[in-house]
Amino acid sequence: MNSSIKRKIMLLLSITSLLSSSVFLIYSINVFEKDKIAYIYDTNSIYLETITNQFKNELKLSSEISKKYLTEYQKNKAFSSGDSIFLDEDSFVKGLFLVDITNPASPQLVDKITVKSNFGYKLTEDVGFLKSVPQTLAESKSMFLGGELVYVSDVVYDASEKIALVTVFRSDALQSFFETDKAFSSFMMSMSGDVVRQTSNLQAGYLKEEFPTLFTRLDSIKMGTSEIKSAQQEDWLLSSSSLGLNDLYLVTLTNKKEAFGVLTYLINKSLIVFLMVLSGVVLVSQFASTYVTKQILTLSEAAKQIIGGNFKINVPVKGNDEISLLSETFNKMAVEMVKLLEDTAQGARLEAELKTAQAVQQTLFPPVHQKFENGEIHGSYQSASECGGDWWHYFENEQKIWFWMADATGHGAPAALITSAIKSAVAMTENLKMEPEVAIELVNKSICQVSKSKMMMTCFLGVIDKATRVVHYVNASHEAPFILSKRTDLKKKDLRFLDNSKCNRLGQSMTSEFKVASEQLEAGDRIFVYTDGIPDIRNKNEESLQERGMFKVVLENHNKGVNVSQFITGVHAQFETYRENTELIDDVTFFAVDVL
Amino acid sequence: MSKLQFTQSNENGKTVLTLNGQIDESFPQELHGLKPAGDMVINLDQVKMINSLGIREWIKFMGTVSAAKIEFVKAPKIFIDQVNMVQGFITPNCKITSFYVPYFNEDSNAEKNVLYSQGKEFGEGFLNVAGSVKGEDGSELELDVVEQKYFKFLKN
Repeated sequence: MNSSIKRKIMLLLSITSLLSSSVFLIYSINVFEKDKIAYIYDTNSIYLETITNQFKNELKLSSEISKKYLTEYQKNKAFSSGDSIFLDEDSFVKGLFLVDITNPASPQLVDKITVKSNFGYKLTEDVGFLKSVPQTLAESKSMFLGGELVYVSDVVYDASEKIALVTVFRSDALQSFFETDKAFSSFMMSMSGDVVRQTSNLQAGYLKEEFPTLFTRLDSIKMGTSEIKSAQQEDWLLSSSSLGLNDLYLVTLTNKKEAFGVLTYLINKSLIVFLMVLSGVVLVSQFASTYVTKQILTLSEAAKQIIGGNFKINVPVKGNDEISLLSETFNKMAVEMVKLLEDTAQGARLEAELKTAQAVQQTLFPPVHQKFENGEIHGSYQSASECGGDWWHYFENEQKIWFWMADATGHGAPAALITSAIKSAVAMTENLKMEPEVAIELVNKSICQVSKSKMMMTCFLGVIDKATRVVHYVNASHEAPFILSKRTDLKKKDLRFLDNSKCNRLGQSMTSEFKVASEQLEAGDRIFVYTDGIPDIRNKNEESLQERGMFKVVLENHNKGVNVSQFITGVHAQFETYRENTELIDDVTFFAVDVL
Repeated sequence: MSKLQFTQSNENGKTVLTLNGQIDESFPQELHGLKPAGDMVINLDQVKMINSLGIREWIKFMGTVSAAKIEFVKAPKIFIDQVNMVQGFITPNCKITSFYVPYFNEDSNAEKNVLYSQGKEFGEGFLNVAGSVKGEDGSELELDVVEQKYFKFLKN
């Protein structure tokens, strides 16, 4: 699981980086490629335009100089240099040649003026040069002279004297264009396909041999810049510009692969950087995933320790992130688990103790049913918790039947402890011949000593004289029991309450006085004694049974004319039906004594 | 169930204490320090429940205000039950001048608490208990307590 999370984090980071970087790279290369192509095209076009403009300016200057010298010659019949036959060394024009073309078939050099040195091309000795002058004039062209340097001759003509002045100047623009140190090859060619001049290091016929397609569609040189395939099917960039003279074009050819070499270099570099970044990302991913999974592994190890029963662990909390928060929470959880386990253990101990107390308390209660001479008793007890605060008891003492009902304040363990106190106190009185008020007074003092007035009990003590059927009773603020006569058509108003004794609760005061009251019973009378838990019985709708409901249940069962056991069982069953298994609010205790 | 709350005011020179909620172990300790200047009226109309732990607190409270003449008004059935049953629940300096008597119709489950007032339904030497009353829906509601038991406190 650990490696899986680690791998997932690494994959997530790497794939995210790979995708984003790839998109960026592809986009960048695409944009750069477009920009580079545009740059190369523009650069070639601008370069050619610059060259041609420069050449046109040279041609214009040459023409002006020619006209000046021709005018001078016409005026003086000689060049104004007078006795000098040389031009200045730094002169733009390198030579002026006056040619008589009276006979076009045999033109004659009349006069000349040149720079003194560095004009190695001996025009005057070139017969072809002189012979081409009439034709050049006729076609209104300029002449391009051979040699390493590019010389151009411009011809002006005096028609009246049939004299032509040939001005020779060196074109720096074209000289520069044809230099061999360029990234491209340079050509000057006409629309008829004649290659007038080319980069000197190329073999003659190179263009026709390497780029035959160019000559099949010569119009393409008018397009500025376009792509063309070589004979080896390589892509080349063709740029051209009109020279503005003699129907000539300057053409450059650039190997596209070489031109885009920088771009390829850049792409390769970018790919290398991309791979380096990706490697970095993978390393960072490895580090990050290791960091995260290490913390999780630590937590996992700590969890194993807890499973193994070692709760005294403390996971180191590093940093201030979600993992550290988880570690902190884990530590808190471990502390809480220890506390919870201790509480649970303590709860289990308490539960065990309560069960023991419950078992002990059961011994405080008498058997639920007992027959006496002239009397019969049956009872029911239900506690709201493990230990209850209700208590009931009975015993027979010579000619008397004693019955007790007590209810401690509250319920649970503290109340149960008081019930054990009253049981002990009552047990002491069982074998003593004493009046009810004396007996309950003794019990009160016993409760006071035990509870120190912190807990009290309501209590009802009834004593039936079997011989006279008189019940003497003392009520220490308990619910007043009532007598049901043996009739089976009793109504609520027929109930007779034993409510003529009202005394302090047990445990309230050591000096409490207890007043006894008496009631004559008849054979067949039934005394119903109960605690206040009965009216508090609730159903699922949280509706209390109330006193009204209790009387109804008691009267219904009594009027069936059944014996005391059946009566108590029937009452209990109806209470249970009403309760619908909901929890008791208070202990529910009741019993009935039948006088026979 | 709500904890017992109380308000205290003065009307015609008497301290009027109005209680609201249940009388139980959460009994307000401030009431144990209450020292009414003169007579006191305790309105019990909104007392909802009394348990055995509340009885102990109440008896303690009765001891702290034993010097004053106390008049209980609008006592609910749960209060009257305790008065009838628990010795010392109200002290001799107290008298109940009005209390509720519950009526009930078993067929319709309709309930009604009728306020009995001193000088009207009961007084020195007389008690007029209506066996039945008319409910809000016109039905006949019968007395929902055992007369012998419920009105016993008036005889003491």
